[in-house]
Amino acid sequence: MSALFTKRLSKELVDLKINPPVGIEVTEADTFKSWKLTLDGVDGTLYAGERFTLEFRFSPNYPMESPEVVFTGNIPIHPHIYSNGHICLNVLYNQWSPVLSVRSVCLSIQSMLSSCTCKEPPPDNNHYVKTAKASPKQTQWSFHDDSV
Amino acid sequence: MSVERAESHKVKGNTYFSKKDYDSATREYSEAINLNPRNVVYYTNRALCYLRLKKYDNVISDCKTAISIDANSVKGHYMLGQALTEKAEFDLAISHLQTAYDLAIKDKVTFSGEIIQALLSAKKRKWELEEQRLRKNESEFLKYIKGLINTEREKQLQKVNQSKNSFGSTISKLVNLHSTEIQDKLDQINKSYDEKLSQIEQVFAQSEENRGPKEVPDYFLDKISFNIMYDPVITPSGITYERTHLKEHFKKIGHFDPLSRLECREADLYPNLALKEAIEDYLNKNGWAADY
Repeated sequence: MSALFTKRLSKELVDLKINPPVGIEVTEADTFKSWKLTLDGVDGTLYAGERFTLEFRFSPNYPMESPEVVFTGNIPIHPHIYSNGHICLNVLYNQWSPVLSVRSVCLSIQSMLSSCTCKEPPPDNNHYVKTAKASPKQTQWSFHDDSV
Repeated sequence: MSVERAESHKVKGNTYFSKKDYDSATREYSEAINLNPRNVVYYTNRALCYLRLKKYDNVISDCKTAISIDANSVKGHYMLGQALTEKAEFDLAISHLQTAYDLAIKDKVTFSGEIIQALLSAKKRKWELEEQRLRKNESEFLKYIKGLINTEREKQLQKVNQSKNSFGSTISKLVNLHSTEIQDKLDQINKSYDEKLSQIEQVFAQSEENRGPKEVPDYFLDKISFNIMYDPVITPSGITYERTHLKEHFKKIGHFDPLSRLECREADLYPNLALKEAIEDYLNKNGWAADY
């Protein structure tokens, strides 16, 4: 499986570099273990002018297993993003599919930010951050709110 | 008795193999073969050691023995194909790898994805070799044509020069008057042949460019691996995937179409034969894309 894994990631990287989506840029991709990308808040949204960093960590089973995706550094304030960088987004966990990619995940997160109407942390932020494991993939997520 | 002793040598061989001590592993498998020459596994295990040691002739001979004992040995065909690829016997390699893939799908072997990789890389290397030969032929042909053009040019230039000389010898005083006219004529000849040369070079460069790497159309690429498909299958949602990767998805993630997310099982899949033909045709014309 590992041949599939590196080959696919190389292709994703080339595609992201040659044909980058608006407001998304690969800043670190020295290994196939972890990449960093910057995500710019879209103009006309609550996050306009802000720049965030996403970290993707891949297992050798990728894309048969979702990547671990977290914000690092400056964490956006958003009802689905915890202050430790964990993101509550179903496609990263139980709704993952191998046709999804780094590009499509970034676009989902960008659109999640863009559709936000009120900058506030998740209601259970303090409790979650205290109890969460290092990897968000170990969290039992419940996805109840699709409106934000 | 000897069967049991053979087995114990195999176990030792496997231990050496897992420590990457391929020479010692080879020795143990050879002992096993001496004691029980009818067990396919001993040959395919030893062949894998030889493959790691890059002793391709030995791989070929062990795999052939394995296949003669069990014609359906997936590993036998798979490694034979890999070794033949290394020996540049591409057609034979491709045929064994195809057999290996078909058997692997029937037997639900886990490494069918790797077999496809080996198959595509054999196809690409075959194309590279042909391409190299073609390029050499073409560059020789180009040299020959350029030679012809230059000979023709020399002839034309000589004609003008001869007329100048005969002219000059008869009425030597007027030579200066005509020399610019003659120079113009020579320049014109040179210009016209230079153009011919550059045109012919362009034609050849174009032909080379047409054969070289371009972007592979998305509809030939598997949506899971992003590779060009070898055994495309279509789901009830009408979406096409590479069979081995879709099966892996069913096993590891779930029984749904990765794109439409509608329920889908292996029994629901049909081969997409038209697309397979289109890809084969495309690869015949764009061999570089095989291992894209």
